Amino acid sequence: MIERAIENWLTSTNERGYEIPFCQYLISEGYTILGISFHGQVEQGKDIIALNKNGTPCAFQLKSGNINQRVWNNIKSEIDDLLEMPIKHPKVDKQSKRECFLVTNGIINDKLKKDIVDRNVGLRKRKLPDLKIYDGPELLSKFIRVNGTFLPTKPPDLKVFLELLMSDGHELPDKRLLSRFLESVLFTKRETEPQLRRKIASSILLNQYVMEPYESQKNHIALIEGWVILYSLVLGVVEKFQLAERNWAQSLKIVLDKINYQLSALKEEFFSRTDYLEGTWDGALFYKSRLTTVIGWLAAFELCMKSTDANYTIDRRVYDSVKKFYGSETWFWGESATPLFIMMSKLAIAFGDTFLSNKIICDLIIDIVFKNGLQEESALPAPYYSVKQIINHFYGPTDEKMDLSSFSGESYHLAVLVDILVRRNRRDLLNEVWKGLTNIYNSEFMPKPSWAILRWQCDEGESMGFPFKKPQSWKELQKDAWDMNNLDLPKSLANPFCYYFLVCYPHRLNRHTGKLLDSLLNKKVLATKLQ
Amino acid sequence: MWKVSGVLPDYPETKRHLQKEFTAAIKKETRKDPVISMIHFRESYEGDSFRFTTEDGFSQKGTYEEISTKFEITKDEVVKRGPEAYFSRVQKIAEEWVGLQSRLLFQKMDEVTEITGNIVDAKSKPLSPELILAALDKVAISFDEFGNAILPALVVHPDKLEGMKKEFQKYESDPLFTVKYKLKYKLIIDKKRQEWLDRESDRKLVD
Repeated sequence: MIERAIENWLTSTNERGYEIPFCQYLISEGYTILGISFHGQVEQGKDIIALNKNGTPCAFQLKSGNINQRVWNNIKSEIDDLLEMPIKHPKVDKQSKRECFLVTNGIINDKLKKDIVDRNVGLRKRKLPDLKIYDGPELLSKFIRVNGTFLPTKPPDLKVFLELLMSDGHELPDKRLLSRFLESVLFTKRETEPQLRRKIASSILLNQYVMEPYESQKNHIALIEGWVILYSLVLGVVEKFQLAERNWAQSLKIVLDKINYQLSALKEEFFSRTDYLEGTWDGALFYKSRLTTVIGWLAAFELCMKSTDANYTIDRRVYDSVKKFYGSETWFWGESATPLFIMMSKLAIAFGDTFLSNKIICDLIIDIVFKNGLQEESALPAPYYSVKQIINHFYGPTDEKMDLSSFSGESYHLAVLVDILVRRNRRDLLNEVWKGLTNIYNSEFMPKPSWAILRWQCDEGESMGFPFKKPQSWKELQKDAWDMNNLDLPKSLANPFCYYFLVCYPHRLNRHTGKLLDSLLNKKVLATKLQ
Repeated sequence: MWKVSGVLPDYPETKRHLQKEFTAAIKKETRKDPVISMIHFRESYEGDSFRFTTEDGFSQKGTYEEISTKFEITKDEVVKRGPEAYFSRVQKIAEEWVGLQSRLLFQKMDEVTEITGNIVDAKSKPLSPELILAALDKVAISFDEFGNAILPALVVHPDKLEGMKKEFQKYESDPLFTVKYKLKYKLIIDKKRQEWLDRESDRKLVD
């Protein structure tokens, strides 16, 4: 059945839809991926460039659908570029022998296949590479060969799989459900290194499959979240089994490239629009939640890019949007929005705008202090509640209403926000709100073992609660806020991906990850402090 | 003969809705209990253990305990009354639930007061104003914005309530004792107000 499902997906998707699984297939076959078209490194008829296991440069052009004479005539100039133009990449010698492939998920008709064989004779005479072809049936057998063993076969997994596929692609994915599904593929009993490698490959294929509804709608944020979840879970596998880098680094690289591609596409879409409405019955909280989410993600993107490459120039338009929309068009719907606002605050500080940056953090603190006081009726929900659940509370059916008073008296993020101001040495600002702030009880969850923070939900771990002391020593707060020795986090989180992780997993923002976020630029400190 | 096992048409979505309503009704009913209504519940979303620190620095670690209650409905009643049969059990379930929660609460309070030493030993004597005052003297009391004391609740077993009322009537008929009692109560509240003001003034950042 699963073979039929893959076949169904493969034949209905476009070239963009199978690009990542195809890259993963190449990685599984020993290729090293040098470039993928979606991040703009590749051109002249080449969608993917890679070195095969013998070190020979290879160029792949991906197409979708059947290729007959008419289609061939349309794509001929691109094929000529593929064959005639050398591969331009710093790791490829332009003069070296190369291999060229035309790949499609449809059928290449028999006559055309024969013509290609004949054409190759002429190409060889011109000292150009042969054109090799992979069409749908071959592609399907390759995917099944790499992934087949680990694809879901148990009915509960299949049910979740189908449930995920039922999305119309307009809303955000059910992150809990997606994580459960991917975990059923990735987290099973102890496996050998090759098996784990294949599981990672399978999870990439399956994630691409379940992301198809969002892919077809170009729902960038849904795609970003889907791939961030996969990336996090693979990191979890790496940590759990102490998997050597050769088994996962390339796979995660293409996943991160995909996330960054979607973020840049989101940015392009955002700045090309004249308004941000979607469909009917829109506006108010729908609109504000959308703007908050988009601007928060774009801020995370800029910060991640800068943190990855010191020469990257942060896009001023994103900062201008924070300035323009923050407050009037944003909405702090609950603590699952905190990381989005922290990203906006951090972006503002990257432009030297300490006023806006501190204002954002102070506004969050004030909101929490005033709304989450004990016995308040309209407290802000804990970070475990998605924006969708909160929107449904306000606009949805009666049985989706939440008892907001149940969130009163506590906060998961207050201490994180306090730490940020402490690290900025803003005792003056904290003094103003400190009295009210001490009425709130701080909650935190620490997963066991520490790598499990990369999972959506943990069965093992400790829920913790603590109030600030009365009186509270400023020196002690400073010591705690700067102390990197007590970080209980997996080493793999200490990289720029952490920006994306915390936006996608708001319930994982705690004093430890908050500290990590503020220290991402200081990689040397992190490397020595994290286990 | 073939043995056939399968299902007949059902209405899972409607039933999920009923289940939610049923749970909410039980919750609402349990909150009517004066003791339970005073408790602030915190939800734990993940994990298998907890560690909480109180305002006075007392810290406790532990694991979660399951409490559950059973109820029975005959097939006949289900057939005749449908969901109503379930909802008719709400009050009884809530009563049992309150009993279980209260027992657990007092058991935990006993454990904590044992550790903190926050106990007034009545030495088997009946509850008297003196004992209440001694207990008041032991606990932290907060005050509202008008300066009124927010007094802690006194939990008494229903069986003992009548006896206690009679006992207190004896005291009320003694004017000297009433004056002494009221005076002592006022002194304790004054002391507690000062302690509260001290605590409130400690809600600050210091070097």
